[in-house]
Amino acid sequence: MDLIKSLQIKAAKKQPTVVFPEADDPKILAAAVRARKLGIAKPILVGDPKVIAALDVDEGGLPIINPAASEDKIKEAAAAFSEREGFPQKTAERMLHDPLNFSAMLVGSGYADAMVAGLNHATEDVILSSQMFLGLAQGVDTPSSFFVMDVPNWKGGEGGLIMFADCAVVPNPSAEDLAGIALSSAASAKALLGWEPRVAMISFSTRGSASHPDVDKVVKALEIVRAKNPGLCIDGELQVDSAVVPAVSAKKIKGDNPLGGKANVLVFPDLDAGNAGYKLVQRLAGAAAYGPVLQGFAHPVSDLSRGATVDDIVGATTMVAAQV
Amino acid sequence: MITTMDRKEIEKKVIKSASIVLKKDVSTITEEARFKEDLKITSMKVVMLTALLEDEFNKKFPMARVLKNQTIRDCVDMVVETLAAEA
Repeated sequence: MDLIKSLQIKAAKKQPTVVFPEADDPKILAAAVRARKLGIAKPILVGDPKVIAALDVDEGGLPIINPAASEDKIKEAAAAFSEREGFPQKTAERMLHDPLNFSAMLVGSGYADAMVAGLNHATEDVILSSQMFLGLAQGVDTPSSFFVMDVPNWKGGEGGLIMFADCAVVPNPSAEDLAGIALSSAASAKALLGWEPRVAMISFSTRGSASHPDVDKVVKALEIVRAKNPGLCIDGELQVDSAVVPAVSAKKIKGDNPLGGKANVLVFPDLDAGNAGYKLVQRLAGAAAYGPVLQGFAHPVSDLSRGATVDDIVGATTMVAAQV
Repeated sequence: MITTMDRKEIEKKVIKSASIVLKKDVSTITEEARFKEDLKITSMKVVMLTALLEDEFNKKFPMARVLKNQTIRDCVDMVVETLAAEA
Protein backbone atom coordinates (compact mmCIF):
# COMPACT_ATOMS: atom_id res chain seq x y z
CA MET A 1 0.00 0.00 0.00
CA ASP A 2 1.39 3.43 -0.85
CA LEU A 3 2.23 5.92 1.87
CA ILE A 4 -0.60 8.36 1.21
CA LYS A 5 -3.18 5.56 1.17
CA SER A 6 -2.01 4.25 4.54
CA LEU A 7 -1.98 7.78 5.97
CA GLN A 8 -5.51 8.35 4.65
CA ILE A 9 -6.65 5.29 6.59
CA LYS A 10 -4.91 6.60 9.71
CA ALA A 11 -6.44 10.08 9.30
CA ALA A 12 -9.91 8.64 8.64
CA LYS A 13 -9.89 6.98 12.07
CA LYS A 14 -9.69 10.40 13.78
CA GLN A 15 -11.07 12.78 11.15
CA PRO A 16 -9.45 15.79 12.82
CA THR A 17 -10.57 19.35 12.26
CA VAL A 18 -8.31 21.05 9.71
CA VAL A 19 -8.45 24.78 9.12
CA PHE A 20 -7.88 26.33 5.66
CA PRO A 21 -6.95 30.04 5.78
CA GLU A 22 -6.77 30.36 1.99
CA ALA A 23 -10.32 29.13 1.37
CA ASP A 24 -10.96 31.97 -1.07
CA ASP A 25 -8.76 30.09 -3.55
CA PRO A 26 -10.74 27.61 -5.68
CA LYS A 27 -8.00 24.95 -5.42
CA ILE A 28 -8.07 25.08 -1.62
CA LEU A 29 -11.84 24.94 -1.60
CA ALA A 30 -11.91 21.97 -3.97
CA ALA A 31 -9.29 20.16 -1.87
CA ALA A 32 -11.17 20.82 1.38
CA VAL A 33 -14.37 19.46 -0.16
CA ARG A 34 -12.51 16.37 -1.36
CA ALA A 35 -10.84 15.85 2.03
CA ARG A 36 -14.31 15.85 3.59
CA LYS A 37 -15.62 13.39 0.97
CA LEU A 38 -12.65 11.08 1.55
CA GLY A 39 -13.38 11.26 5.26
CA ILE A 40 -9.80 12.22 6.17
CA ALA A 41 -10.65 15.50 7.90
CA LYS A 42 -13.38 17.87 8.98
CA PRO A 43 -12.37 21.05 7.16
CA ILE A 44 -13.07 24.56 8.44
CA LEU A 45 -12.88 27.28 5.82
CA VAL A 46 -11.56 30.66 6.94
CA GLY A 47 -12.51 33.72 4.90
CA ASP A 48 -15.34 35.89 3.73
CA PRO A 49 -18.39 33.65 3.08
CA LYS A 50 -19.47 35.88 0.19
CA VAL A 51 -16.11 35.50 -1.56
CA ILE A 52 -16.08 31.75 -0.96
CA ALA A 53 -19.66 31.39 -2.21
CA ALA A 54 -18.75 33.29 -5.37
CA LEU A 55 -16.11 30.68 -6.32
CA ASP A 56 -17.04 28.21 -8.98
CA VAL A 57 -16.83 25.32 -6.52
CA ASP A 58 -19.65 23.85 -4.47
CA GLU A 59 -18.41 24.26 -0.88
CA GLY A 60 -20.57 21.32 0.13
CA GLY A 61 -21.87 22.93 3.31
CA LEU A 62 -18.43 23.09 4.96
CA PRO A 63 -18.33 25.45 7.96
CA ILE A 64 -16.91 28.91 7.24
CA ILE A 65 -15.45 31.26 9.84
CA ASN A 66 -15.00 34.88 8.87
CA PRO A 67 -12.29 36.62 10.94
CA ALA A 68 -14.08 39.94 10.34
CA ALA A 69 -17.14 38.56 12.14
CA SER A 70 -15.24 36.88 14.97
CA GLU A 71 -14.47 39.80 17.26
CA ASP A 72 -15.02 37.86 20.48
CA LYS A 73 -12.64 35.08 19.47
CA ILE A 74 -10.04 37.63 18.34
CA LYS A 75 -10.29 39.70 21.50
CA GLU A 76 -9.90 36.61 23.67
CA ALA A 77 -6.89 35.32 21.72
CA ALA A 78 -5.29 38.76 21.53
CA ALA A 79 -5.63 39.15 25.30
CA ALA A 80 -3.87 35.81 25.85
CA PHE A 81 -1.11 36.72 23.35
CA SER A 82 -0.74 40.14 24.89
CA GLU A 83 -0.32 38.69 28.36
CA ARG A 84 2.17 36.06 27.17
CA GLU A 85 4.32 38.41 25.08
CA GLY A 86 3.82 41.71 26.93
CA PHE A 87 2.50 43.04 23.63
CA PRO A 88 -0.22 45.67 23.10
CA GLN A 89 -3.57 43.91 22.78
CA LYS A 90 -4.86 46.30 20.12
CA THR A 91 -1.97 45.47 17.79
CA ALA A 92 -2.45 41.76 18.43
CA GLU A 93 -6.14 42.13 17.56
CA ARG A 94 -5.25 43.78 14.26
CA MET A 95 -2.75 41.01 13.47
CA LEU A 96 -5.37 38.38 14.22
CA HIS A 97 -7.73 39.74 11.57
CA ASP A 98 -5.31 38.32 9.01
CA PRO A 99 -6.76 34.92 7.96
CA LEU A 100 -3.40 33.14 8.32
CA ASN A 101 -2.80 34.41 11.86
CA PHE A 102 -6.47 33.85 12.69
CA SER A 103 -6.33 30.24 11.50
CA ALA A 104 -3.10 29.56 13.40
CA MET A 105 -4.85 30.98 16.47
CA LEU A 106 -7.83 28.66 15.96
CA VAL A 107 -5.45 25.70 16.11
CA GLY A 108 -3.36 27.14 18.94
CA SER A 109 -6.46 27.72 21.05
CA GLY A 110 -7.73 24.19 20.50
CA TYR A 111 -10.66 25.13 18.25
CA ALA A 112 -9.09 23.14 15.38
CA ASP A 113 -6.49 20.37 15.23
CA ALA A 114 -4.27 21.35 12.29
CA MET A 115 -3.73 23.93 9.54
CA VAL A 116 -3.10 23.65 5.80
CA ALA A 117 -1.67 26.83 4.22
CA GLY A 118 0.98 28.16 1.90
CA LEU A 119 -0.68 28.16 -1.51
CA ASN A 120 -0.81 31.95 -1.48
CA HIS A 121 1.69 32.67 1.29
CA ALA A 122 5.47 32.32 1.50
CA THR A 123 6.82 29.50 3.66
CA GLU A 124 8.20 32.09 6.05
CA ASP A 125 4.75 33.64 6.53
CA VAL A 126 3.22 30.24 7.38
CA ILE A 127 6.05 29.50 9.81
CA LEU A 128 5.93 32.90 11.52
CA SER A 129 2.13 32.94 11.90
CA SER A 130 2.29 29.42 13.31
CA GLN A 131 5.14 30.30 15.64
CA MET A 132 3.24 33.30 17.00
CA PHE A 133 -0.30 32.01 17.29
CA LEU A 134 -0.17 28.22 17.14
CA GLY A 135 2.99 27.77 19.18
CA LEU A 136 6.06 25.56 19.13
CA ALA A 137 6.19 22.07 20.60
CA GLN A 138 7.61 21.84 24.09
CA GLY A 139 11.40 22.00 24.10
CA VAL A 140 11.61 23.15 20.45
CA ASP A 141 13.17 26.53 19.63
CA THR A 142 13.39 26.24 15.86
CA PRO A 143 10.71 24.89 13.53
CA SER A 144 12.01 22.73 10.70
CA SER A 145 10.75 20.32 8.05
CA PHE A 146 11.07 16.80 6.78
CA PHE A 147 10.46 14.71 3.69
CA VAL A 148 9.41 11.09 3.63
CA MET A 149 11.27 9.43 0.76
CA ASP A 150 9.76 6.33 -0.81
CA VAL A 151 12.74 4.72 -2.53
CA PRO A 152 11.95 2.09 -5.17
CA ASN A 153 13.78 -1.26 -5.03
CA TRP A 154 15.37 -0.49 -1.67
CA LYS A 155 14.60 -2.47 1.45
CA GLY A 156 16.47 -0.30 3.95
CA GLY A 157 15.16 2.39 6.24
CA GLU A 158 11.64 1.36 7.10
CA GLY A 159 10.57 -0.95 4.29
CA GLY A 160 12.05 1.34 1.67
CA LEU A 161 10.80 4.53 3.31
CA ILE A 162 13.17 6.96 4.99
CA MET A 163 12.76 10.39 6.56
CA PHE A 164 15.11 13.26 5.64
CA ALA A 165 15.42 16.47 7.70
CA ASP A 166 15.80 19.40 7.42
CA CYS A 167 15.46 19.94 3.69
CA ALA A 168 13.50 23.18 3.49
CA VAL A 169 13.56 25.57 6.43
CA VAL A 170 16.74 26.14 8.51
CA PRO A 171 19.66 27.28 6.30
CA ASN A 172 22.60 27.13 8.68
CA PRO A 173 21.59 25.38 11.89
CA SER A 174 23.63 25.71 15.06
CA ALA A 175 24.34 22.59 17.12
CA GLU A 176 21.30 23.51 19.24
CA ASP A 177 19.12 23.93 16.13
CA LEU A 178 20.37 20.61 14.77
CA ALA A 179 19.53 18.89 18.04
CA GLY A 180 16.04 20.40 17.85
CA ILE A 181 15.65 19.14 14.28
CA ALA A 182 16.69 15.63 15.37
CA LEU A 183 14.24 15.61 18.30
CA SER A 184 11.40 16.98 16.17
CA SER A 185 12.13 14.46 13.40
CA ALA A 186 12.08 11.55 15.84
CA ALA A 187 8.75 12.78 17.20
CA SER A 188 7.38 13.20 13.65
CA ALA A 189 8.48 9.69 12.63
CA LYS A 190 6.57 8.32 15.59
CA ALA A 191 3.47 10.51 15.29
CA LEU A 192 3.02 10.41 11.52
CA LEU A 193 4.37 7.02 10.55
CA GLY A 194 4.20 5.04 13.78
CA TRP A 195 7.89 4.19 13.49
CA GLU A 196 10.30 3.55 16.31
CA PRO A 197 12.81 6.21 15.20
CA ARG A 198 16.43 5.27 14.46
CA VAL A 199 18.12 8.60 13.89
CA ALA A 200 21.45 9.19 12.15
CA MET A 201 23.19 12.55 12.46
CA ILE A 202 24.76 12.89 9.03
CA SER A 203 28.23 14.28 8.36
CA PHE A 204 31.17 13.78 6.00
CA SER A 205 32.83 11.94 8.88
CA THR A 206 31.99 8.66 10.62
CA ARG A 207 32.64 8.61 14.36
CA GLY A 208 35.80 10.70 14.31
CA SER A 209 37.18 9.69 10.91
CA ALA A 210 37.60 13.40 10.11
CA SER A 211 38.29 16.41 12.25
CA HIS A 212 36.60 19.73 11.41
CA PRO A 213 34.43 22.38 13.11
CA ASP A 214 31.44 21.14 11.03
CA VAL A 215 31.95 17.66 12.49
CA ASP A 216 32.21 19.15 15.99
CA LYS A 217 28.83 20.81 15.44
CA VAL A 218 27.18 17.49 14.65
CA VAL A 219 28.85 15.81 17.63
CA LYS A 220 27.67 18.61 19.92
CA ALA A 221 24.13 18.30 18.55
CA LEU A 222 24.22 14.57 19.27
CA GLU A 223 25.26 15.24 22.86
CA ILE A 224 22.37 17.68 23.30
CA VAL A 225 19.87 15.18 21.91
CA ARG A 226 21.18 12.39 24.15
CA ALA A 227 20.93 14.65 27.19
CA LYS A 228 17.35 15.65 26.33
CA ASN A 229 16.11 12.24 25.22
CA PRO A 230 18.38 9.49 26.58
CA GLY A 231 16.05 6.74 25.35
CA LEU A 232 16.19 7.77 21.69
CA CYS A 233 18.00 5.41 19.30
CA ILE A 234 20.43 7.84 17.68
CA ASP A 235 24.03 7.84 16.51
CA GLY A 236 26.52 10.18 14.88
CA GLU A 237 28.39 11.63 13.37
CA LEU A 238 27.85 9.27 10.44
CA GLN A 239 28.35 9.35 6.70
CA VAL A 240 25.25 8.37 4.74
CA ASP A 241 26.59 4.90 3.88
CA SER A 242 27.43 4.21 7.53
CA ALA A 243 23.88 5.22 8.39
CA VAL A 244 21.93 3.16 5.85
CA VAL A 245 24.15 0.27 4.70
CA PRO A 246 24.62 -2.42 7.40
CA ALA A 247 27.80 -3.84 5.84
CA VAL A 248 29.45 -0.41 5.67
CA SER A 249 28.28 0.39 9.17
CA ALA A 250 29.80 -2.83 10.51
CA LYS A 251 33.08 -2.13 8.75
CA LYS A 252 33.44 1.53 9.74
CA ILE A 253 32.07 1.50 13.28
CA LYS A 254 33.93 -0.31 15.99
CA GLY A 255 32.26 -0.84 19.34
CA ASP A 256 28.81 0.43 20.22
CA ASN A 257 26.71 0.69 17.06
CA PRO A 258 23.07 1.40 17.94
CA LEU A 259 21.87 1.88 14.36
CA GLY A 260 23.81 -0.90 12.65
CA GLY A 261 23.30 0.80 9.29
CA LYS A 262 19.53 0.69 9.65
CA ALA A 263 18.68 4.34 10.24
CA ASN A 264 15.16 5.37 9.25
CA VAL A 265 15.66 9.09 9.94
CA LEU A 266 18.58 11.07 8.48
CA VAL A 267 19.31 14.48 9.98
CA PHE A 268 21.49 16.46 7.59
CA PRO A 269 24.07 18.92 8.97
CA ASP A 270 22.63 21.89 7.08
CA LEU A 271 20.07 22.91 4.48
CA ASP A 272 22.54 22.64 1.57
CA ALA A 273 23.10 18.96 2.33
CA GLY A 274 19.46 18.23 3.18
CA ASN A 275 18.00 19.89 0.12
CA ALA A 276 20.61 18.40 -2.24
CA GLY A 277 20.20 15.01 -0.57
CA TYR A 278 16.46 14.74 -1.06
CA LYS A 279 16.63 15.99 -4.64
CA LEU A 280 19.40 13.53 -5.53
CA VAL A 281 17.43 10.58 -4.18
CA GLN A 282 14.28 11.87 -5.87
CA ARG A 283 15.88 12.49 -9.27
CA LEU A 284 18.54 9.78 -9.50
CA ALA A 285 16.84 6.95 -7.62
CA GLY A 286 13.32 7.82 -8.77
CA ALA A 287 12.07 8.12 -5.20
CA ALA A 288 8.75 9.73 -4.36
CA ALA A 289 9.37 12.69 -2.05
CA TYR A 290 6.49 13.50 0.30
CA GLY A 291 6.89 16.93 1.85
CA PRO A 292 8.17 19.25 2.98
CA VAL A 293 6.14 18.72 6.12
CA LEU A 294 6.67 21.33 8.79
CA GLN A 295 7.56 20.10 12.25
CA GLY A 296 8.38 21.46 15.68
CA PHE A 297 5.00 23.13 16.16
CA ALA A 298 2.61 22.35 18.97
CA HIS A 299 0.10 21.14 16.35
CA PRO A 300 0.47 19.93 12.75
CA VAL A 301 0.88 22.56 10.03
CA SER A 302 1.47 22.04 6.33
CA ASP A 303 3.35 24.30 3.99
CA LEU A 304 1.96 24.03 0.48
CA SER A 305 4.01 24.88 -2.54
CA ARG A 306 2.69 27.90 -4.47
CA GLY A 307 2.14 25.63 -7.46
CA ALA A 308 0.34 22.90 -5.52
CA THR A 309 -2.46 21.09 -7.32
CA VAL A 310 -5.74 20.00 -5.70
CA ASP A 311 -4.21 16.51 -5.37
CA ASP A 312 -1.13 17.97 -3.63
CA ILE A 313 -3.35 19.90 -1.21
CA VAL A 314 -5.38 16.78 -0.41
CA GLY A 315 -2.04 14.97 0.15
CA ALA A 316 -0.85 17.72 2.51
CA THR A 317 -4.18 17.60 4.34
CA THR A 318 -3.72 13.86 4.75
CA MET A 319 -0.20 14.37 6.14
CA VAL A 320 -1.33 16.86 8.79
CA ALA A 321 -4.50 14.93 9.63
CA ALA A 322 -2.49 11.74 10.15
CA GLN A 323 -0.25 13.53 12.66
CA VAL A 324 -3.08 14.56 14.97
CA MET B 1 9.42 68.40 5.90
CA ILE B 2 10.65 66.34 8.86
CA THR B 3 12.26 68.51 11.51
CA THR B 4 15.03 67.40 13.91
CA MET B 5 12.45 67.28 16.66
CA ASP B 6 10.23 65.01 14.55
CA ARG B 7 13.10 62.65 14.01
CA LYS B 8 13.84 62.55 17.73
CA GLU B 9 10.22 61.69 18.43
CA ILE B 10 10.25 58.99 15.81
CA GLU B 11 13.46 57.56 17.29
CA LYS B 12 11.85 57.50 20.72
CA LYS B 13 8.82 55.65 19.40
CA VAL B 14 10.90 53.15 17.43
CA ILE B 15 13.06 52.41 20.48
CA LYS B 16 9.96 52.08 22.65
CA SER B 17 8.41 49.63 20.15
CA ALA B 18 11.64 47.63 19.98
CA SER B 19 11.82 47.54 23.77
CA ILE B 20 8.29 46.10 23.98
CA VAL B 21 8.93 43.43 21.38
CA LEU B 22 12.38 42.49 22.65
CA LYS B 23 11.41 42.79 26.31
CA LYS B 24 14.32 45.11 27.01
CA ASP B 25 14.50 48.38 28.92
CA VAL B 26 14.40 51.42 26.60
CA SER B 27 17.58 52.71 28.22
CA THR B 28 19.50 49.68 26.90
CA ILE B 29 18.58 50.34 23.25
CA THR B 30 20.54 52.97 21.34
CA GLU B 31 20.19 54.22 17.78
CA GLU B 32 23.39 52.36 16.92
CA ALA B 33 22.10 49.03 18.19
CA ARG B 34 22.20 46.31 15.53
CA PHE B 35 19.07 44.19 15.33
CA LYS B 36 20.73 40.83 14.82
CA GLU B 37 24.08 41.12 16.56
CA ASP B 38 23.16 43.32 19.54
CA LEU B 39 19.44 42.87 20.00
CA LYS B 40 19.29 39.21 18.87
CA ILE B 41 16.03 39.83 17.06
CA THR B 42 14.26 36.81 15.57
CA SER B 43 12.03 36.73 12.49
CA MET B 44 8.98 36.41 14.72
CA LYS B 45 9.99 39.53 16.64
CA VAL B 46 10.49 41.40 13.35
CA VAL B 47 6.86 40.62 12.46
CA MET B 48 5.72 41.86 15.84
CA LEU B 49 7.87 45.00 15.61
CA THR B 50 6.48 45.73 12.14
CA ALA B 51 2.90 45.43 13.39
CA LEU B 52 3.68 47.68 16.33
CA LEU B 53 5.34 50.34 14.13
CA GLU B 54 2.36 50.23 11.77
CA ASP B 55 0.01 50.98 14.66
CA GLU B 56 2.36 53.58 16.13
CA PHE B 57 2.73 55.57 12.89
CA ASN B 58 -0.49 54.53 11.17
CA LYS B 59 1.45 53.47 8.07
CA LYS B 60 2.14 50.21 6.27
CA PHE B 61 5.74 48.97 6.35
CA PRO B 62 6.38 46.06 3.98
CA MET B 63 8.23 43.19 5.72
CA ALA B 64 10.82 43.09 2.93
CA ARG B 65 11.66 46.74 3.68
CA VAL B 66 11.74 46.23 7.45
CA LEU B 67 14.08 43.26 7.06
CA LYS B 68 16.63 45.50 5.31
CA ASN B 69 17.13 47.54 8.48
CA GLN B 70 20.40 46.59 10.13
CA THR B 71 20.17 49.02 13.04
CA ILE B 72 17.63 51.04 15.00
CA ARG B 73 18.89 54.07 13.05
CA ASP B 74 18.01 52.35 9.75
CA CYS B 75 14.56 51.68 11.14
CA VAL B 76 14.13 55.32 12.16
CA ASP B 77 15.27 56.38 8.67
CA MET B 78 12.68 54.03 7.16
CA VAL B 79 9.90 55.63 9.19
CA VAL B 80 11.13 59.16 8.45
CA GLU B 81 11.26 58.40 4.71
CA THR B 82 7.82 56.77 4.72
CA LEU B 83 6.21 59.66 6.56
CA ALA B 84 7.97 62.23 4.38
CA ALA B 85 6.94 60.45 1.19
CA GLU B 86 3.31 60.41 2.20
CA ALA B 87 3.24 63.89 3.76
